[in-house]
Amino acid sequence: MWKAIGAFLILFSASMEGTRHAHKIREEYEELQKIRYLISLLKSEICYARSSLEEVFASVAEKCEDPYRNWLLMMRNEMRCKKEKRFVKIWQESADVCLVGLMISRKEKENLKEVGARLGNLDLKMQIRSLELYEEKVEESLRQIQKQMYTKMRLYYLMGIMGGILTVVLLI
Amino acid sequence: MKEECILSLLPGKLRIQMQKIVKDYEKLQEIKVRIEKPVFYFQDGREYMLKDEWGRPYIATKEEVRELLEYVSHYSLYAYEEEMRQGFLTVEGGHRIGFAGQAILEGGHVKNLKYISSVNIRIAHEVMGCADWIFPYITRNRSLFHTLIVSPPGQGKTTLLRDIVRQISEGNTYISGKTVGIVDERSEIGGCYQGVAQNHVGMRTDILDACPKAEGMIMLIRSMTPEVVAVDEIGTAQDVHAIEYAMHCGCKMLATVHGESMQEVKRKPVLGTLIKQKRFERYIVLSGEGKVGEVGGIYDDRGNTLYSFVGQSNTAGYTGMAGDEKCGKP
Repeated sequence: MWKAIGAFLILFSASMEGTRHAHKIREEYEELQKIRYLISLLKSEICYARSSLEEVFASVAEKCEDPYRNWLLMMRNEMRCKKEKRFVKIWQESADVCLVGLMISRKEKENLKEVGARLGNLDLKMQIRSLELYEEKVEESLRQIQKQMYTKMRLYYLMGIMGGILTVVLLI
Repeated sequence: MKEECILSLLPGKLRIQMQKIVKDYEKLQEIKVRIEKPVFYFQDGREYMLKDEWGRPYIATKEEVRELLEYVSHYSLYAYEEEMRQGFLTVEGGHRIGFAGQAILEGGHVKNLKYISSVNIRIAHEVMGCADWIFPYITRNRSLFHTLIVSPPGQGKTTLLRDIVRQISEGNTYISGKTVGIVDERSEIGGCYQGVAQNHVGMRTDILDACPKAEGMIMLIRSMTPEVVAVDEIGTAQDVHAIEYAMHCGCKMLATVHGESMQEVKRKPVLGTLIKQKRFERYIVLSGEGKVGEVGGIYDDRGNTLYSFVGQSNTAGYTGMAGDEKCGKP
């Protein structure tokens, strides 16, 4: 009986592990969608209102959830303090603090941090173009993930279960 | 508040040095920052060179000018493309930041500036009550005359305009409170920040901020039905046509123009016509020779002197005057 319980527990935890990995993919997909939405909000605020980044961040923060809201507000506050920091540093350091728990890959995080280097000092068209270029990158990532998402998720579920079964068999 | 506002525009080290040396920001008029040159500031009409902690001239670096640009533009120079094209922008509090550098041309017109090497911070000062004594000359039966303020640059015409607007809006002994519409193209009258006026412009005042004057006047008249329309630094044909439109609509006009004297203003191609047609009923000429804000003379539409600072003679330069009526300040 104890063997049966143990086997069940091993199978259960292995399946959960597989499920966790599968959900990670889904979460990364959803997170990138949120980032895409955030960028489109920034773009339209800049394009329509021609506001400064401070105002844009304050306005867009109202339409976002955490952690993006906190990130935008943190950047706005840092910009107001005028602490001899370049804008790109403010963008990146705030991202390191507020977006540390984002469920996206390191590469996506780096891409997001790089956007800060292209904002602020350029002319309006360049601003919009920089955001559009990043938006295109995110779209591409979303397409790639979506193509493989269901396959990978099924694979992880199966691997979780099969891994559990294999472990049980080996132990028994 | 003003001190905080001005210091927040400056790069770190310069900010610290200014804090140590300048004590009274109400008297501070300008700060000039140039790359690889000493920083100057103007206080009470006098020029001073900023010194560093060792008593040597404070030399501004390229990095500091870049930092200053980031602060005045809120890290968003793109949002000030239009202002950069004109060579200056206005920040919170109504202070004007002027730039000099290399012009980027497109089709023979200035598109933008690059390699900015000089920055001039002109500090706005609100002087409430500076227009108190003027009201007997520009009103009758509690109604305002169409009034034009003529002044050389930097002599306080905007400050005077602001106070006149405030008093008209609030109402005083000479005039009942009226709805005033301001077209504040350079954000200097109201000093609006995020839509909120930082200067006192009165409780019945509507401001159209950062809007071209001609378009703005028409918009205001149609949307806010002002009894008085105030604009600063008119000069173009479009401005003049919009003023005529406003006058036809029954609004009283309050405007300012650059000029040393009435004679000079009369010679201006489009504005001169308006003056010859006697569309404006009162002219306030700031002297430009004495203290900032000093009124040299006040005239009616026929050129009669209603007030002259220097005495009985018609020395303010407006021809065709029929007689003198020297009035002292009440």
